[in-house]
Amino acid sequence: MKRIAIDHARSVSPAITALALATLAFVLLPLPFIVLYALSMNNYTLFSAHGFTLQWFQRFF
Amino acid sequence: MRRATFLLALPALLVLALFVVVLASFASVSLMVVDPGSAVFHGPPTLVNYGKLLVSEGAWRAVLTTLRLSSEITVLTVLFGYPLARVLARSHSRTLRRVILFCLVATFLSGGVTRAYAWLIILGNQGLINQGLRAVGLPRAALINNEFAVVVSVLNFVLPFFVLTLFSALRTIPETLEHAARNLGASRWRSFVTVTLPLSLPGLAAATSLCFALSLGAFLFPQMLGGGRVQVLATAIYDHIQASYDVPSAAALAVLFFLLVLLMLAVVGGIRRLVAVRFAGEAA
Repeated sequence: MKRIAIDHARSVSPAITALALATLAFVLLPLPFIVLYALSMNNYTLFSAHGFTLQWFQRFF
Repeated sequence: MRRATFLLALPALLVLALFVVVLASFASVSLMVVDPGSAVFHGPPTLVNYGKLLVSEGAWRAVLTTLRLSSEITVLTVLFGYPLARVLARSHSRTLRRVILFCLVATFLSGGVTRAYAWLIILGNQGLINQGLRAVGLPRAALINNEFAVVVSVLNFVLPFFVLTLFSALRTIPETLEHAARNLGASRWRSFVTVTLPLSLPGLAAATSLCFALSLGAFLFPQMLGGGRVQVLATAIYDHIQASYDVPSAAALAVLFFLLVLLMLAVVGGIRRLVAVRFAGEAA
């Protein structure tokens, strides 16, 4: 009788895991920008890596 | 015994009554008429607002746009959310499960408005993607003030709800059933299609219904990322109140919206029963 070896340690395929992690990255995508924008010198909702400031926190506290 | 049952059900009935009273009071406004040139509305009860809605091209367009976008978002949520829920439920790495769970819960703490602003920074005309395109010499892409931006942002919002709802259902399915299928020669895909998927259908239906209802009622993301060009039912109701001061028409639209949600949930429930009968038939 043919014996079938099954790898039970890996019940989710690597492709599904990769897709799941990509989905998780998409879910998390806005969060770093919230932090980045809180430290940005911009007054407008545009992406800029020029200059960081704590002025928004100073104004708040 | 009957008295004890009533007393136990009383808190739930009170909460339910609160919802019904609020909805009924707003629905009653839909039977009034507004004075021309003012925001004052009065009786006697009439169906004139419903008559206006039935012949309003804008209202039907909003209904169709809402249904189309909600369907697209729900399909995408199932396609991308199911693998994540499965990894969360089945991965043997405790660290990975904890990281995923933490990340999903963390998104709830960020709030909708802040996430909408974050999407403005990512998708905006001067946003991350467009600056990247410009840096490599490509033309600017229209990623905002359109349906694409609404679908992406609402999808991002509803995915954690879907994944966490489906995850709790997948956790109740014994992993040994999949192992038995694999030991009997089924491939990973076949064991998923014939064992896991049918058993997860009730949870999948619940998660799908939740996401569809959330997508139908989405207001913030269509308002902020649609730029006034994507008119869904929630934004149409808002415009009726804020732009026209026509609260009775907005109430009529809200009643239509409520009936639509009930109808769609009934359709989803019907599909769920049909699929369950099909899989039960195959199993027999």
